[in-house]
Amino acid sequence: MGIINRTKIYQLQLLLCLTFLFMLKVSKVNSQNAGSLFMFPDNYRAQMLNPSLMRNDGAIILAVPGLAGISIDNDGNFKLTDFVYTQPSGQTVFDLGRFSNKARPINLNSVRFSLPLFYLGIPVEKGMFSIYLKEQINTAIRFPVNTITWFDNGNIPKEYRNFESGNIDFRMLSYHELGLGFTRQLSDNIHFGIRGKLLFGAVYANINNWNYTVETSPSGDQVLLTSNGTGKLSVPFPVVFDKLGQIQKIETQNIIANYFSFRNPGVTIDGGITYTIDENRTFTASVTDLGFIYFGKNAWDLYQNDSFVFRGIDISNSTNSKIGNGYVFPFNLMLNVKDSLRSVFKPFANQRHLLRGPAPKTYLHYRYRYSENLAFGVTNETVFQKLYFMNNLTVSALRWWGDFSLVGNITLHRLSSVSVGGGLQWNNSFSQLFVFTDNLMANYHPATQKSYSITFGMNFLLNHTESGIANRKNNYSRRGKISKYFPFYRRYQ
Amino acid sequence: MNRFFKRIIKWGFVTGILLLFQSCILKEFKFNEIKLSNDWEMQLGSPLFYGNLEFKDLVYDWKEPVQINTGEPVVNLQFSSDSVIDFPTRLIYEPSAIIDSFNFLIEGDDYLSQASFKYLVTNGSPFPLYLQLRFFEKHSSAAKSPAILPPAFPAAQLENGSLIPVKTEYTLPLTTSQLESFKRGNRIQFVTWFNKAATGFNPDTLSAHYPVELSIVLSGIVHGYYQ
Repeated sequence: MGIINRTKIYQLQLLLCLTFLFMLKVSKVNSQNAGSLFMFPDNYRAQMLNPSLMRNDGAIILAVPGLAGISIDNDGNFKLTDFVYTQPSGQTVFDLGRFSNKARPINLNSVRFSLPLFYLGIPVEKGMFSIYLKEQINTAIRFPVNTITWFDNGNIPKEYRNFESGNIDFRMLSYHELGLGFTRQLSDNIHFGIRGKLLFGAVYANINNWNYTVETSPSGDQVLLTSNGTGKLSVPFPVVFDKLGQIQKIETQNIIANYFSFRNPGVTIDGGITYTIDENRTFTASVTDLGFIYFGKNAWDLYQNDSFVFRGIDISNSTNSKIGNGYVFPFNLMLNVKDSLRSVFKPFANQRHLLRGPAPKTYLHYRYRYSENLAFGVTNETVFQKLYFMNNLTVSALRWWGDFSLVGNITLHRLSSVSVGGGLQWNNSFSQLFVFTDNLMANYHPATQKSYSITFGMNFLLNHTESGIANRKNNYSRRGKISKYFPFYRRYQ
Repeated sequence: MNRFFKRIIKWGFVTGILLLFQSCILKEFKFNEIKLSNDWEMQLGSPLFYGNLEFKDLVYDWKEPVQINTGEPVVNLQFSSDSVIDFPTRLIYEPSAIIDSFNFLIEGDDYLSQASFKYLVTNGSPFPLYLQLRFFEKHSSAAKSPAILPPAFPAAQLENGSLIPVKTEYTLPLTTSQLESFKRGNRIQFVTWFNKAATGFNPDTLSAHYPVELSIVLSGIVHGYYQ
């Protein structure tokens, strides 16, 4: 017995050593919450990613706005402090020069923000019914370093006379999501779950290869401005166009009310399966976000392909000698020149209907219970976006201490970078609190991290039944029953 | 593990989490207080004005009919082959506000710390040209603002009886007061006149259509804060 314990201790020490080696060797980090989440099948956030997961103890899960928490998943190759930092004087400054010096040839950043507003999971015979409402915002931007150099170098030095921004890409999709899920125990070792989701699209933007040039003549008396690019846009706000069909401005009155209006309907489905191989091994798989959103109102194709040679304001016909003879009033002249300059950067828009959806994702998770208090897991997340896909592989270790569960993980991102994260969950007599991150350093100083993710929140647990107390082999131990004085689950020692 | 130790672990975890979040540095996220760095600057060049003008545009403002004083010298100002007027010679050499108040509504010039005007002038007239700018505020007077006056732009060269336009380039750094008027001003006055003394050219007839092309280019250093 002593030999076995020592072996386990050695293996744990080896895991810790490997973790720190990764931390020392690899500076680029990326994030994935799912890896930690799937180690907690009783957590409602994991159940949102795989509808076949459910609690074993018969408790009702209730998450309410404000307490349900949030998930932020930021992934990029630059950090906020590359261009925003606090000076010794205490002033927070935005420094383009600093960013220009630190920027890579191609700069990327994506953010996935998820805000569950409500979740209710009700156990039924051999299964569970769930309903939830959440807000989802996904954005991604890609731009070359050239885009920034203009703001650092200007256009007077000879080597910077001809500026080209390079191709700028931006994508954004935000929507309100109402999910209705059902989980069913098909046999002793198979759970199946399916969820239908009603989506209401709020904002969709897809900016492709937007490119700008500023070419200054040797003497500086002419500046050629050009713009190129295509895209698609749908916003829940009124958009004002000029006579030519160019976007003049987007009205921002009643922005909150407009944003949270329910329009642009869509449907997606999630499916998942959990296979309990034996008492120590479990395999789960899920596919999420298969479907589309129909942007029928306020949706446009965008394009820009314009140029303008700016030579200054032409005063030829604004001298006093021209009064009464083709005179151009200076005020109108100034406005016309400004309009000509701005029009280069205003895209044209053609109204059309758009059919777009969130990126489908697959989650594969294998968990091995090593001992009574220790489990290991492997999770693979794949996100499909058109012809591209992003893959994260996470190795996790979970340790139970009574009501507390502590997880640590290492995530391989696209096989090119690594992050080290962790999290914990606390179950008390009537609720569950949790926090997970895939970049522990981000908790201390998020602005210095290129990538980080954090998921935190809490949910209530109602109406435990004694028969539904979890089996310690499959979950953590519970010894409780319904209190006759208190409507919530209460633990008795 | 007895209950005492379990409670110690439980509250130890809670305290640890609170300390963890308490230690989180978020001061970089004060976006409402953010400003551009004082260290940041860029050298920016932009054309301001250009014009394809003629001699007649530059010698008089033409708001009032030309008054000829008794006995004063005049020159024939020829507009076309059959249109010639008598024009007082003195007016050619007197400053004329060819544009009294031009709306100058450029945003962002408050961030300029240094500026200079590059003048690119092709003078096709037979006299050196003076071009003076004054930037002033709408409810102020142009005369109260400092004049920005480069040297005279040389006259066209007379070769084989015809005038060959001369292209000249001057760069004039703005003084502190000139820069201040440029940043505060939302109107411009253009004043021009010609220099008689520098040329011996003194014909009886002058063309109203001697071409004068001008371009004024701003070069400056832009900072991230008000100057």
